Amino acid sequence: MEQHVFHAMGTDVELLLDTPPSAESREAFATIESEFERLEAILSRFRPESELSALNREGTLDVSLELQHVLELALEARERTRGRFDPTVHDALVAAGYDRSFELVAPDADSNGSAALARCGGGVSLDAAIGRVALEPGFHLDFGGIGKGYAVDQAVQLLALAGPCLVSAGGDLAVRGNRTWPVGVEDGPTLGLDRGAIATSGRDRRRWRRGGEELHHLIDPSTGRPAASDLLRVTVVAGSAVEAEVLAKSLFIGGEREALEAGVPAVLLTADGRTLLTGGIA
Amino acid sequence: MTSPLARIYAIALASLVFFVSWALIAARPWAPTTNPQLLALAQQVQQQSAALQQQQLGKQGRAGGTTQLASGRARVVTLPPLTITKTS
Repeated sequence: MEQHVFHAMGTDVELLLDTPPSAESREAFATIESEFERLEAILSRFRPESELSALNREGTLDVSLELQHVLELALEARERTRGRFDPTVHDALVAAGYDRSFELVAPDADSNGSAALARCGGGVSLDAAIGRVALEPGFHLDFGGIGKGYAVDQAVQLLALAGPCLVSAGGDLAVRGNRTWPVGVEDGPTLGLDRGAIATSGRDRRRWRRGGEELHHLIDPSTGRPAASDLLRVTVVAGSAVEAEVLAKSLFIGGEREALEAGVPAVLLTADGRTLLTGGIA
Repeated sequence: MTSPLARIYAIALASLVFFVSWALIAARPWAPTTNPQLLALAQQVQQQSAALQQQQLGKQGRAGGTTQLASGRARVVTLPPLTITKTS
């Protein structure tokens, strides 16, 4: 088993390739690093020169097929989750204090982040024929979670050309190949993943304090504030990292009862410390 | 015996056959291509197919609702984990 780790999209990316060490596997790892860099240069809201930043600045832009595709995935996810997943949470994240790459966010500050409210559910129009995106004035896009999921899905497709593989970036993970991949859920069970992807969303990381109040990065679009969920963390198994990411975020915001009724394969860690398996995971 | 002209024709034809065969073998048409443009094209096709697959997933999800999106397969195992999934 070959392993390769590098830093991209604000997190450590881990690649596992179930083949003997070779020049081809090293070349494949280098290709994946380039792919993450390419996608980050398009989708990051923290890079002023990225295409997403240009769109957020201009409000209307003729975008690349790649950005158009990620936007379509995000808008479909918003529709399916009835707004629980929303790419227009950008301003709510900034208002809460997540206004720069997370390593640079002050862990504690006097300013009151929760006082600044921002609207979500903004209008986004896409003319797919010419690739023109127009944002409703006052709204901006964030592709943080779905962008990483998309990068993992693209990377695992590419790496699979070299052999059975696993790609993990922060909470998003996908596998390919005819074998079982044992994936540990932090403080929980180990899942044998035969195919598909896993995503974990929660408020146990990427959190900070403003004016004495603890805040985190999972915004509830219905309030424009960090979600007040009775769950601490949700791990979802799905067909792709994008789908798992969307479902994990949506179930987290919906809370324990809805997550148990949804029928989605998931491991839930509740705020009071219980670990629950649901959706057929046993 | 054979006329000198026929002998010259025969030698020329044999030389032509030899060089054409040599060129065909030297081209190694059975070997995998290393043309960077073709490799880039293959990668582009592969990416577009991945994009199409994602679009299909999206359409299936929209048609089938949240619960039918989950097409990954996992179960609890006692194997030592190869990696740990944590909050992103």
